[in-house]
Amino acid sequence: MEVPSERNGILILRVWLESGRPDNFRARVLRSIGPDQAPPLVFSDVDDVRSAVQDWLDELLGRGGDGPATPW
Amino acid sequence: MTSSVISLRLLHSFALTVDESRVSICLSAQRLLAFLALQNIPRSRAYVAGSLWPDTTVPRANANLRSSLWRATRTGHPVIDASVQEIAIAADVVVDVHDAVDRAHRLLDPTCPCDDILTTRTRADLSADLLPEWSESEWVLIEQEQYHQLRLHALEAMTARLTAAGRHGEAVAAGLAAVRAEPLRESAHSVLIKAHLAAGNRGAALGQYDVCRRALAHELGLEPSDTLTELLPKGLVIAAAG
Repeated sequence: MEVPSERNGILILRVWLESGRPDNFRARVLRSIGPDQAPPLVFSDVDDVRSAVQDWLDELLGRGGDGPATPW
Repeated sequence: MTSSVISLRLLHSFALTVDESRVSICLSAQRLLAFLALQNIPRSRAYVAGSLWPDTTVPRANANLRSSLWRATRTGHPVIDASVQEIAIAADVVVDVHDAVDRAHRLLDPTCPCDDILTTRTRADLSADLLPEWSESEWVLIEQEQYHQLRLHALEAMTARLTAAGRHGEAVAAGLAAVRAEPLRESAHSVLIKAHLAAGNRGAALGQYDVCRRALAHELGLEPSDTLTELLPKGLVIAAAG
């Protein structure tokens, strides 16, 4: 029997720009790995979003290990 | 003779009703109906099978589709139009999200009169997410996010229209729904504050400003924009902060 992999996940970026201010970038990041849904994150800086996506990928990949990804 | 009214609810949760009586239907047939309703045009059987069962073999996906189609027709109600090549939701099935999307687009069109849709039902439909318990499938996720974005904007437009019409209580209710949908959108707080001010409730407007200020500070370490702050009468924010 084929065992379903726990190495799957979903990451959704909701991004919008606020009007009337220079620091207008906003992003809400929704993440899950397998059945585990993490609390949403919010950012106002593009680099923070990049870091969050990288962290999620690292978690999903188990940082190179063979074991299942560790849920949050 | 009057024909039955078949309705499909996809907002809040799935429900198939015929003349307001709920029809029991298995999960695989629910998924098929919801998918076809959201496509809203005929799709090839291969496309539907591949979209609903992307992780299985083509023969298995086709078999799943045949099984789900059979289960949907077992309800005894004509909910799906199927030919050898294509399948679609039956034309006379009333789908709640179709109507909600139409109303959202009308609200967002400044040239469109909307008095007939500034209703509790519109607010309720725009306050709901699409099939919120079905987040495991790609096709659902994309539809959910598209509807979520649309309803954020539409709720803000609805709040502004109700405020302009002097229907302040309903405007506040719509504005609160907009803020609930995304608590960090300053544009949502803005229309709600304007609704409070139009009703003459400066204290409620200031309270909403403070809700926004605290959310931004807590989540992002930011202050509200000058645009938002300037909505309030001069001195009110300073007095409250003091």
